[in-house]
Amino acid sequence: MNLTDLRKNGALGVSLAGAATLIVMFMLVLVFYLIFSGGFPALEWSFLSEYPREANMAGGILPAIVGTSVMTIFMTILVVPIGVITALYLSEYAPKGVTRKLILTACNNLAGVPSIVFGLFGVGFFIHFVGGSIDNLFFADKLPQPTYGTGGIMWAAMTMALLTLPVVVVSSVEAMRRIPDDHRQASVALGATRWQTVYRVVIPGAIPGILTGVVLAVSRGVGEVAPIMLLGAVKQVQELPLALNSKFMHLGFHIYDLACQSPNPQKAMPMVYATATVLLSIILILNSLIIFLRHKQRKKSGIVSLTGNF
Amino acid sequence: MSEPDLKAQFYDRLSARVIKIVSFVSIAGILLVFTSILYEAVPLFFSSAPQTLPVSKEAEPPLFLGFSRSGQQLSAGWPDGRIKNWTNNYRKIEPDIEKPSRNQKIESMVLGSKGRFAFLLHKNGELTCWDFKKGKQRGRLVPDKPLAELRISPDGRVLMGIGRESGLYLFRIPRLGKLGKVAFLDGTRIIDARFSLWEKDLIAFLDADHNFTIWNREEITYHYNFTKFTPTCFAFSNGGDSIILGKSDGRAIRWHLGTNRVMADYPGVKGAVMNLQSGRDGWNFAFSSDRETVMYNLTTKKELFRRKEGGRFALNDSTEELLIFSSSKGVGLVEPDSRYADFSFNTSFRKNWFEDYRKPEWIWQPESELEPKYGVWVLLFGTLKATAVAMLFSVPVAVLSAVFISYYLPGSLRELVKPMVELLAGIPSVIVGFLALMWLAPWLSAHIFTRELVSRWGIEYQQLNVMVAGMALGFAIIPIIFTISEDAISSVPSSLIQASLAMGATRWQTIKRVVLPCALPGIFASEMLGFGRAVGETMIVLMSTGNPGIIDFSPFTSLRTMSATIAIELPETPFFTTHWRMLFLIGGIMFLITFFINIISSTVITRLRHKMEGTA
Repeated sequence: MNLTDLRKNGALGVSLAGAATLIVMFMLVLVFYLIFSGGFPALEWSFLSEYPREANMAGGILPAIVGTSVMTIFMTILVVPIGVITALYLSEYAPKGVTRKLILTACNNLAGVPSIVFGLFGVGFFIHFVGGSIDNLFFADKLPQPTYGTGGIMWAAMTMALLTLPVVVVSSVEAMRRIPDDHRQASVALGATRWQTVYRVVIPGAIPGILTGVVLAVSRGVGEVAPIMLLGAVKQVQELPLALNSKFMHLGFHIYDLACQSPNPQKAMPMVYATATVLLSIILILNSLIIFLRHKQRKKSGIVSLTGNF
Repeated sequence: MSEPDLKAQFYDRLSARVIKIVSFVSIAGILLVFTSILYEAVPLFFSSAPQTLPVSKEAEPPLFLGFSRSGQQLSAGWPDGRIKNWTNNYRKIEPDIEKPSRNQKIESMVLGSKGRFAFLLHKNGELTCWDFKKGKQRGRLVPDKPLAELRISPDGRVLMGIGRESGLYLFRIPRLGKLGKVAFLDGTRIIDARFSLWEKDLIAFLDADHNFTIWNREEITYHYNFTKFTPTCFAFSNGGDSIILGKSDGRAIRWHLGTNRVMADYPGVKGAVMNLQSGRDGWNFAFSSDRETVMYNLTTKKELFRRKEGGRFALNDSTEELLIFSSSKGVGLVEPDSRYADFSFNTSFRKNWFEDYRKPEWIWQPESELEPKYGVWVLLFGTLKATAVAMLFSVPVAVLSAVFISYYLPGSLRELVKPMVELLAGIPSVIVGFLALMWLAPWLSAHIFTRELVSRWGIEYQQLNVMVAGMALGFAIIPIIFTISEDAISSVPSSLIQASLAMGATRWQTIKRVVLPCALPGIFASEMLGFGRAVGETMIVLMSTGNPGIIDFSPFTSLRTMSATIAIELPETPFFTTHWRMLFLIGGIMFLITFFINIISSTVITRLRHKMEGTA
């Protein structure tokens, strides 16, 4: 092979492109390696089942696990029905026109609005407007000590629900759109009402797609820290977050707090790595679930989609 | 119709209605996000009209108006010797009229710091002290030379008299208002003199030959002769590094004592500036000529108050209210809306000369002990700098690997690699930030930018710098750029590719000449989306940039971004202050940037998809 052939075949370009792919894979492996190798030695059962001690530098992360789970469950309960119903409206009920298209575009774009902006929204609207009004109406005797007009797990969950709403709506609409119109027409021809068609045909067919959206939302809810830190995530709690307005610990916030604001970062290091291992494992499990659901969906519809993730 | 059909129809109608209502609620919720952020930021741009509280109906303009240090005692004095005192008890003004025992005409008057004593300079040259509480005269003194005006020190212990012809005289005020002479400075005619707002024993004065002098009662610490303009009066700024000068042309300037340069210029009043006062607790100041009165913020030059009547006025130190006299309404208390005086859109995006600096600079430091510094541009710059490095790092890697994976990887491997990239997208940013902080930054400074290298290059290397942040941020946006580019690249119609290959082009030539040009809009859109994601990313930049609020062009120094600023400052900021609303403004800017980027790129993608479908 002479030089011209090399240039023609793009030897340089192809090797660069291959190198780029290797870099991406390498970085992925590196992240998992660094976190898991640092975290597994410190990972014991007691780490998952105990409260933190000595300014979070010893003990476990039980409140953070519970806080993250409770917040995410709250969020899921809120976002799934609303998101799916909105998707149903957009896909099955709304007149096909400019408005519907506009709403879908807005939804799509809101998925890209920075999470910290949602955090700001939560502070301005939920904490100050809604929470402040509740305090003034029902807890006026406790003021100026706020009851609901301060960060709490409910406000965090509601803000996160709004943040993940576009994800659920967009992926559900996509899934519903993939159901062929023939199926709907067949259902209607058999005498089914619109609701019966939606309930018996559209929703069952779209379930894998909807579930993908839900898992994506959950995975964002678990991993997103920026809005949470404005909405009631704290360093330490005395008890598990069982009231609507209680402050809570969060795995991601715990990592940030230990890494950036710990009085003794060196001593806190094993704790951070172990917490990051727990968080990354959860994300890994959720992502495997997404891959599994996608696979199922693909087998069902025969259509490959990759854009749903974003 | 049979029974079950009715039931089905009922459910059908019910569900349609419920679905409609719920979806409208959720769409409204989405719209709410932006409106509520705007709702918190918009008050910055508006101020309400100044409110005037009438104090006393008077026909004649007073010689003197004043507040006590606490601001609760208001007083006024007239040339014929009448003095009046009011107590401002939470906006309820109670008259407390007193008259000095000897009904002599007065030349000048000041109120003691606690509002209990008034010091009067009589037409006949006598200096007396009046006790409001007891209603009688306390001290009496006849100065050697006739005085024109009086000043009192902030602690209320020293009285200063400006000589009618020349000189400056200081009098000690022991307890109970007795007066004693301490020191005097003879020389030229003084036109204005002030005590420093904070430093005891520091006195400044301006003479008729435009010499400005600061004297600490032992030696002269500052002297300057103004030649380019004619100063008529002055006041110290709150910080003490600068003074505010009123000029004969009606304008005011802020003069930096360290560099002898003008820091800022304020459009002023008609006629020469006669009275000028600055607040001790805030950064607002007011001045008047015989025709107009204005109030400005020192930093932002925002005009807070203006009226078409001049003369004497007083500025309250803590609440920044003005006590004024108008010929139609008499004495009144004006409350200008100074809530957001320290914000202006212009100064947020421009270099500003702040009190503790020697030249204009871009600074973000809202909770400074001196002037609050809201240089939003610093944060925008930090965000753009970090994002630019992230793009440099991630775009080649992501686009090249998209090409490689679409056209060079066998199908089975492709199915393995793509989910891995998706997994990359799922890694929480707090973990990426943590690794940047704890692993990447120390590793770079230990192995690449070692101490020897840094000192050989003679650069300033901070461990948490824009390279670290940009690499981490780039890592986080690789998946989005990859996925969208891959989508665009692999949706290039195979007919085009086959045509190119059939003409004898190699695979690489086809990619270079056919695939990439076709997919270019999609690749561009992917980069836009990546850019938008990087602008909004919070945890990575929060943890890996060091967050100082300054502008620096070096690639090896720390920076502060908009998102990190919100995350750090919002939890600690008091509600509804300028600072709090500024954070919402920054959030609004971020929202707009990302929203428009998303709209542009999604339009590009949709259009491209239509085109590809048409060709195929």
